[in-house]
Amino acid sequence: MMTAKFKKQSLLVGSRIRALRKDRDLTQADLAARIGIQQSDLCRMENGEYKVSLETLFRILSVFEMNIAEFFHEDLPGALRERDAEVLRQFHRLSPRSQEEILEFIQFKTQFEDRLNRKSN
Amino acid sequence: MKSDPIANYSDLTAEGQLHVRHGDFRRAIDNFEQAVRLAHDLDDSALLVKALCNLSTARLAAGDIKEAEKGLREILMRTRDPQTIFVTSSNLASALRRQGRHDRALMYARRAMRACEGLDNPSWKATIHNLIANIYMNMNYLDDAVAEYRHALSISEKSGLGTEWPIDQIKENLGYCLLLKKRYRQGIAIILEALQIGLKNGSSRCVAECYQDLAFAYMQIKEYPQSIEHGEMALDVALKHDYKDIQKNCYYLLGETHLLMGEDDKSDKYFDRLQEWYPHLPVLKEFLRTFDVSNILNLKNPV
Repeated sequence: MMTAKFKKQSLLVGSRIRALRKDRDLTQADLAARIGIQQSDLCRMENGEYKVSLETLFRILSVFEMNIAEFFHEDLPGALRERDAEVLRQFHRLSPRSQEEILEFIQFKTQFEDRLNRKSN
Repeated sequence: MKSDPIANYSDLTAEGQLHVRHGDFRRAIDNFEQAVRLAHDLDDSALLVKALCNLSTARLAAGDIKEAEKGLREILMRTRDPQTIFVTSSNLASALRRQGRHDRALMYARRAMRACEGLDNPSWKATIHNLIANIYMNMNYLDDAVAEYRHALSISEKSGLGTEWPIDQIKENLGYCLLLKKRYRQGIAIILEALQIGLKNGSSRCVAECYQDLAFAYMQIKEYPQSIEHGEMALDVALKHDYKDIQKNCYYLLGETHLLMGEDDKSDKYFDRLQEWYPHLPVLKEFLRTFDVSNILNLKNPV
């Protein structure tokens, strides 16, 4: 059976690159020079309007010298980041069907907690 | 080898040009390097300039960008010959495009376009519009790119080029551009036309790109077995002719498609092959397994 696996959408990659760049105090000009693209193109990439080669995508990852946990990191403390990555690793080891079940369960729990929160407010 | 050095030069040039069209870039480089040496020995500056321009074209096609760029600006500054201006300008445009310097690339491409206005060479005219379109496509200005590709095709058709080079390449590029615009069925139809012409003309590079782009298209429309089939064919041609960029793209496409099919072992095999190219980036495989990057990639973008 052919089932599409859950993957994070690509738009997130651009916004994540912007966040990582700012996190490391890099200007667009700095990062563009290091990965070998024009600043205007980097700006458009961060906005999801510019497409790059595999080579450039990997060069960006290389510049940030990050692991996958860092890429997922929003504003969470370090320990939690590792846990997020571990959850994701485990998630990808599951079959597509099990992944769907997990997603449904997460949705169920989210709605349940939302309802609880509304009641307590 | 003929005893007449001029005849030798002509043979080497004709053979080199054929190798370029067939995608045998390394053999083309060998031919043109010999032609450069012959022109040196003959002390013929006009032949030398032509040989250097041809060598630059072959090096560009092979991906030796910095080598290809060497000496072109000096030739361009000294010449008034429209043919030489055309070749040097278009080669510079192509080299700059591959370095992501799009504005400069466009400037040289327009200069080449002006140079060939007075020349009776429709395939050159079509080629330069194809190059301008490529630059627009790399910049992700897809509507402008489509308009330029269509213009290149109309020049080729009006001048009766039929199925000759560079029609296969132009159609292939147009088809891929339509894929980027998410007009998948239309893009696939045009790429299939390009594939037929490319196979007939023996254009290995074009054929490899067609298979690669079809693999991408079928992956996007979730026709995974078709995607795998074309990805494997693209990889075969790319390995045979040492097209490294296509090899990497194919490892990604095949890894991604197998992953989407839930075939993790096969996916791992291809992502591992891709990982071998980037040993300094251990996160690569995990990254590709986690993120859908298909919509931020342009497989024909050199940067």
